[in-house]
Amino acid sequence: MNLRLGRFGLQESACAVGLGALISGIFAVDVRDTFAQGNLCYAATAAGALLSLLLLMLLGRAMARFQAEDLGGLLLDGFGPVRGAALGLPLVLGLVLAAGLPLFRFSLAMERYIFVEADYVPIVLYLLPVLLLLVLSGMETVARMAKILLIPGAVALITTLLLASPAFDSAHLFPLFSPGFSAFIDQTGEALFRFLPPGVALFIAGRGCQGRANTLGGVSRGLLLGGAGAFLLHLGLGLTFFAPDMASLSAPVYCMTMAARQERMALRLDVLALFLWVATGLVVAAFYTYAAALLLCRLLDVKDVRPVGALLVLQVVGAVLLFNFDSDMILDLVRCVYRQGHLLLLLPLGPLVVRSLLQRRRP
Amino acid sequence: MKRAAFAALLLLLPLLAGCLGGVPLDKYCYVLDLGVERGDSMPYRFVFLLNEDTAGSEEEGGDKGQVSMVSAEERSLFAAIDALAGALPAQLSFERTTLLAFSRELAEAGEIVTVTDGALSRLKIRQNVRVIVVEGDLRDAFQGLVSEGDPSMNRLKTNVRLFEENYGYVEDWGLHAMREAFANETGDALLPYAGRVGGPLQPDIAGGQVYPYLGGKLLGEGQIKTSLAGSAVFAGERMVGVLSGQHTMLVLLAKGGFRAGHLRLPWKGEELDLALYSLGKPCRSWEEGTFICEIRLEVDLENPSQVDASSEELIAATEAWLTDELERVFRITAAAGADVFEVGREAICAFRSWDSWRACGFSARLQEIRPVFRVQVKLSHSPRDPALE
Amino acid sequence: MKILDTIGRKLRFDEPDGRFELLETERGEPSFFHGQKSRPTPQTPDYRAVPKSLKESLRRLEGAFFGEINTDLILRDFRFCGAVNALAAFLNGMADGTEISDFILKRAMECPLPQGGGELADYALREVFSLQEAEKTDRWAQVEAAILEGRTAVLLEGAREAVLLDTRGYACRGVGTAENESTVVGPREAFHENLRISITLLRRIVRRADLVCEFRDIGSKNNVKLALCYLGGVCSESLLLEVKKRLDQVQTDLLLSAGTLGQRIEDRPWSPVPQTLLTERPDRAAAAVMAGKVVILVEGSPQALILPVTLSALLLTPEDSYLRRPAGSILRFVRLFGAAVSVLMPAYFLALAYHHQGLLSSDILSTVVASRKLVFLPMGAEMVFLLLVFQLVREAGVRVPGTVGQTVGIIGGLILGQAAVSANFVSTVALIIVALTGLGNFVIPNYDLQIAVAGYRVALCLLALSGGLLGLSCGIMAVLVLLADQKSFGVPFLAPYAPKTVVRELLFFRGDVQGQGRPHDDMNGEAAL
Repeated sequence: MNLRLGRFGLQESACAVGLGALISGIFAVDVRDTFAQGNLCYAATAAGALLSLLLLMLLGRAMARFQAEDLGGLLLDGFGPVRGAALGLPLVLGLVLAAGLPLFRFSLAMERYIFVEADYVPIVLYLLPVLLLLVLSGMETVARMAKILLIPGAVALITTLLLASPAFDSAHLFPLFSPGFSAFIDQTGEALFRFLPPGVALFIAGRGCQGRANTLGGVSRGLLLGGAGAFLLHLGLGLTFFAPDMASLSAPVYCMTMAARQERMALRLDVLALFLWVATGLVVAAFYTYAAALLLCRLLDVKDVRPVGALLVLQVVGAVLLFNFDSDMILDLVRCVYRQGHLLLLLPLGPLVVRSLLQRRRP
Repeated sequence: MKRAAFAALLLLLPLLAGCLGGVPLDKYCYVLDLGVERGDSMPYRFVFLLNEDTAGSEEEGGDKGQVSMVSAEERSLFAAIDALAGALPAQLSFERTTLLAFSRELAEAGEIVTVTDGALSRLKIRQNVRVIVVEGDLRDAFQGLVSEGDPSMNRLKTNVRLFEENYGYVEDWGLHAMREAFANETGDALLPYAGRVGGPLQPDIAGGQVYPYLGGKLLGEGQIKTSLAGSAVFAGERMVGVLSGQHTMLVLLAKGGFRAGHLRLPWKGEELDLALYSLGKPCRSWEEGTFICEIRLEVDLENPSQVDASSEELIAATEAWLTDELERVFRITAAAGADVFEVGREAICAFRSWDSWRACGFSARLQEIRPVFRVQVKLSHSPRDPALE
Repeated sequence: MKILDTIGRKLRFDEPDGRFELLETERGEPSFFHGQKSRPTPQTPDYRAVPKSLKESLRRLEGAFFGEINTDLILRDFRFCGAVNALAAFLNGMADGTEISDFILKRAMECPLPQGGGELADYALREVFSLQEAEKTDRWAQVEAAILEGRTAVLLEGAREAVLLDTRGYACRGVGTAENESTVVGPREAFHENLRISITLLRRIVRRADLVCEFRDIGSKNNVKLALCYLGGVCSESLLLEVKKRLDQVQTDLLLSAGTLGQRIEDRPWSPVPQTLLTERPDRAAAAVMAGKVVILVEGSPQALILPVTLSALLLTPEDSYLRRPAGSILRFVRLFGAAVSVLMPAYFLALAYHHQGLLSSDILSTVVASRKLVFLPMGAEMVFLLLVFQLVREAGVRVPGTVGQTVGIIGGLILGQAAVSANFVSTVALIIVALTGLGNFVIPNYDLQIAVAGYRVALCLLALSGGLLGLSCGIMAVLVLLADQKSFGVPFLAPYAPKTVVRELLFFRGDVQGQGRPHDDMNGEAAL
């Protein structure tokens, strides 16, 4: 058996979930549709993070009830091998898509603003080897990398906010409730797709996390930290741009660093900040992809995670390439992923949580 | 061994994917400033100020900071770049461009967006590049920026920042802020306005002196032949006039960008020189058609011994004059359709959605707004208690 | 059905062997491209007993040592107590002749025959041979090994056991100074080729009863002696077991030094970064022992092998502790900065020069462009070429003995550099960057790591050249992943930062010396005291 799960502690797991929540929370946003009507994303981000935390806590409780050490085991225990596998497949797909979305936004930002003379495909191909190396190295290495990149991730967040801060204006937040309450509910639902994947991924890799308590601790701490970071950045975005202006940008986070006039030293920190985001995003994508591969191995009783991981990395990269295709069908598909992606995760998790609530605790 | 081979294979993969369009830095001509104006035979003339150090010269040990100017008339920026490609020793790079200059004619025609839309990001021109409007021929203006030895081209850009911070006579605008002002009705652009020394300049729409006036001084004859002369007032995408440095300062007082400056206060048939210091951001609000702005300032007399008045008199006179002038400038710019005081940013807070904001047509109703300016002045030293004592 | 089973197993990627169940990340995992890792064939141990017949012993010795042609082996026959045929076997040059004559042969010939019979070997050991270290053995393999070490084996006709006497007395140099790990302050002594002297040097610093020195023979026939030094009760048991397991697996006839041994027992032979730390300083080895690590001293090698090792340990020098805290912290910061410059600077410059010219200030840009006028080599080729030339100069400087080596370095650095610039072969800016990189490389204390960094540097340069900051970021990430994935004897290479351990030592600043006084296991958190 070669699942390359290894052992990692609370710090590493919290960092992995935190960076996942931060990166997904910021970069897995459908800029065009979300901001076209108004700016409520920061509020929806906070609400989505809290709601995700609640759902994940319920999932943790379900795992405790079934005495399962990981999510794969919980699915198999709760629904049996066939139904469990069937319910797990949407989770795998959701994680693969969640891994692809931030990479898609990074690649797009680099193509539009950094490597304007290069094509999209070579840019994406640069990400492939690192992603493959990370996934093949296993969860232990991914978790350690998350811990190493916590500081660069925080530096990227702070640098981005500091560079944009001269352009902050509270007037940009208005009209305050522009999209309306129903839109807020919709956006909160969409935000679940940003904050559920890191928690779900850690639950899948729960066996390596040295105990269920550590897994839950990692999920809650990471989600709170990452959610707070994502909220701050969305608030920063809201303070920098009027919502309709933001909807027209392909990379609002990169553009916000250029919104204010800068002098000398701070002039080009935005480019460096972008590459810090890219490095952090690669680890997050590897975290999701590895978790998806591990889940697939658990559900289908495959003993070696590496071929499955390599296959899913190719799928992630394929999705990143596909997302950029200039066709109405692809655009609709991408929009659908942004809007309905959370259903892929809720479809298997919902029944699990409900079942655990109804079932009595195992002796 | 296999692991090493695998790692090497992974390393090779991006290399096989090819370079991401890398060109060595000495194979570029760097465009420092880009100007656009009306062409003689084509719609636009594009003027490029190039860093001569990097223009492919084969001579070693030349002076640093040398600049040269090239221009091309074309329908678009890309066409102009193509037209110049054969005439330049190296490829043009806009990655170091820090100034975009537009001629007054182009600004008045509202064609700034048409010229720049979409092209700038593809050329790696950054969103925070500085934007100015220039009076007269751009080639003449750019010629005024070229001097030997000292990189005086940077001086104008530095001056924009210095005049904003030390005098409040211009406001430093970037491309992003300009686009935001053009696209939304939440405030209009007030771009720096520059011209050739001794050349013709547009009169101030708010009245006052008709001569080139900045920093309370006449432009003198110096090394730099192109200098700032106030602000270009925009209504939406169109330039509708010019505000002198002192009137720009009044706008900045109400907008919140003012830090320190000078004021010539009419006083018993003469003029008093006052130094102004901001005492914090103005308190701005919007109440059903009324724009309320409370400004707090500290005032210092530049020649206290020459003033024969009590502190109270002086404070009252300063407050009254500033209030009147602010209201006058507000009404004049509003009449021109320009929301340079950015009242829209306050008014939008009262709306519940972007649709209702757009539907209200705020720009068209600018003249209906009732401005209320409350200026509160604190005198640092009384006329009879000069600072030196 | 069998075919279906096989296909099903292939599709499910089942491993055919169940023995890899327990260890997912340790040794024993199957390789990525299938097949099993090659394992050395274990050699059959020699269980033969010492023969009673002296003739048989003589035959065996002559056979094993090629006695007919090997004149080093001295087989001196004599009559023990004037009555019993005996044989003293030793290697000429390895054993001290005076000791053999005075304390073995003379006394054996003059002593009386024991009364009442009994074992001759016991009698000889207790009453005849007056040497401080002596033992008896009934295993023939030990007899051969003792002779190889310089001891003398006395074999007696009719006795079941042989007497082994410590007569080691080969020529060796005195304790020297550490040349490759020199410090401004602190002790100067270096380890010695003689294992005993090396252990003494270590014991002079670690004066604790729980300092264990386990002697082991490794190799198949060569039987190299080594000492495994650790603090009993502090050093992790599992680490010790792992080290011993790996030492037992070493099957080689050629083990020249501790460095060779390190390569034989490390986790990843192809990893550019070292997984064991080779030091010639007893104080450094002592610090490692006190930190719960294992130190291996090898006979004939003036270096100690410290394991496990982490990246932070490779970047530290003993001087950090000898200087006061601020000075130590400044030195450490400078060293880490130098290491970062050494790895990243050429690649970062190339990334900016080729892809992100906007990130360079106007002054720097003008200077670079002015320096590149008339240089015909492309910038990337120029940089890679200079990096290779630097390695060439450095290697030449190291290989040429004594002061000539320094001269080679100076000539290479100054004259060659100046000439290359004058000939428009390279630009001054590239030369400055490579020189800074070289300086940064030299502040890395570990030689293996210096070479690894040089390799990473070139790879990162190629990536930066091709993909700018994206290529560089991906390259840095790949290097970090390889480092994070690596373990040295089960200890993650990036510990104590990722993962965190109980060590409170900061990366950039030196910790308090107050906390260094007590022994601790700084890797697995099992505090001893």
